[in-house]
Amino acid sequence: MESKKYKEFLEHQAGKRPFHKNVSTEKVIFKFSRGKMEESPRAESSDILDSVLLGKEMSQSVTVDRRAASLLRYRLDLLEEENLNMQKKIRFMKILIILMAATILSLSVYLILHFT
Amino acid sequence: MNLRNKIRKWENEVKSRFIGHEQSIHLMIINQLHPRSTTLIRAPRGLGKSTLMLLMLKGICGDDFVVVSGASEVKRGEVVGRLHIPSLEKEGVERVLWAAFVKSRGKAIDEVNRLNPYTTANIHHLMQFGEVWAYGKRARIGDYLLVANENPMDATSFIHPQPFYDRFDVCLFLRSLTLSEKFQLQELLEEHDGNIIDSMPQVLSFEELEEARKQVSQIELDPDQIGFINLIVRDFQACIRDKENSEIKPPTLCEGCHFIRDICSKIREPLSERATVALVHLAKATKWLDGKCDLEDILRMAFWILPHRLSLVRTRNVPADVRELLEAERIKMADRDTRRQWSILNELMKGFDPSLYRLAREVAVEDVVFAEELTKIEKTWIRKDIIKQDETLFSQMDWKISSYGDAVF
Repeated sequence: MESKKYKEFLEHQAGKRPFHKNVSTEKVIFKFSRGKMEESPRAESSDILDSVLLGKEMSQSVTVDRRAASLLRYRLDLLEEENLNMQKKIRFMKILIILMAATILSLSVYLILHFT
Repeated sequence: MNLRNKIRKWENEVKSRFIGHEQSIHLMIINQLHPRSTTLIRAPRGLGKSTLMLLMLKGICGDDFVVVSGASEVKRGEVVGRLHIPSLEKEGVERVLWAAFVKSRGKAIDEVNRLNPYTTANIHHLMQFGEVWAYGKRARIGDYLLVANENPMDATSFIHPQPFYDRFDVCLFLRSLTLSEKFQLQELLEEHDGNIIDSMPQVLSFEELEEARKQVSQIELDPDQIGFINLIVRDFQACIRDKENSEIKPPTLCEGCHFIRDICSKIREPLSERATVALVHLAKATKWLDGKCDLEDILRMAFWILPHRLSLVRTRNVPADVRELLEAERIKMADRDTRRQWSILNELMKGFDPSLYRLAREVAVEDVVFAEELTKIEKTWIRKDIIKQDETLFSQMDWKISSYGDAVF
């Protein structure tokens, strides 16, 4: 025998979160409340720049127009260029470190030989 | 002043003398609003366990309460009762002089962890049956409020049995004070000449507290509130491999289990049904005092009924671990809403529907509590010859169902 309050709980939950069954296809469809529909992402498309630059939430579909694409490409090119510059700097610093290490080593050898 | 306002005044008087811990104090007040309330305060040394305990009791009992201290040598006669020697000598009659702790309605136990096992057993019996025995005589205990404290880190602790701790409705944790709170405490000590406890007034009488308890007991919770309470407790109990009766416990028991990532796999010893009772009391009292009690309130209050009742697979920091489990529980509740599983179960209880049953089986592999309920319905369908035993969810998932006794699985 089921508890009366248990049945009430299930009925109350069913009332709050309803679904209906499509008679012909036997498919169960969940219903959403109006509030939830309004909360859910908009059906129309959103601009990618709004989400990249302004941090806005993306919709289901995101459009990229020619101007946005060229802007993104321009920013990518800048980043690539900066990346190359950084690589050059890193290579230069590596050589400098090796040279300094060699100088220190040779100086230490010279000092050891000279004072012993 | 009506009762609610008096209870709020009691809370405010305690809050004005105990820095920080506003939520814990509110919960502690809420917990006093049912008969034979028991509260456990856990904290390392010197964080104000005894102070909070005494402030709470003074607010109701004035100076008419009894403190039993685990740190001193407690004899049976001091906790339960002793034999009245003159009656025995003159009349040959065994009369028992019941201890002040038994008779007093305000009971405090300081340093529970240091109580010897015999004293613990007597207090355990008192909390369980509302009576005490000594020399073959029994004394019934009326309504009371009991506040206890302990420092589990203390090296001189006795290890008390889990059922003893289960008798405490809630368990509060205290923390050390932040920089600004230390300044507040110093000002408070100066204001009260270093004696905060003596400054605490008696805000209401025990009879008024009893009246408040009576009013709270008449509060009715709505089906959603009771449902959420039962769901939370069941989520902390359910195990597809029957860990309650198993000699092998998680994590070994969980090896290869379908629900290995669920809350159940993190709990070694599940909750008792007393957790439900305690949470119902708290929910009723919250509704009475604060005028509302929603799912968030119930989840927040669950934080105080779990720590002393649960045994976790991996314990690092008990409050943080419990908080993490409750966060997982919140997500689980939201998933249940999204899956409309209670609506599906509601329809299936009315009658068999193949497409809904398919959906319910998909849900059941995500939620062990739902799976239990679906199994019960499946059994009625088997009896009515609607489905066959080997078509059931449990047969197909190869979950073991006990066909003996009342065990679900």
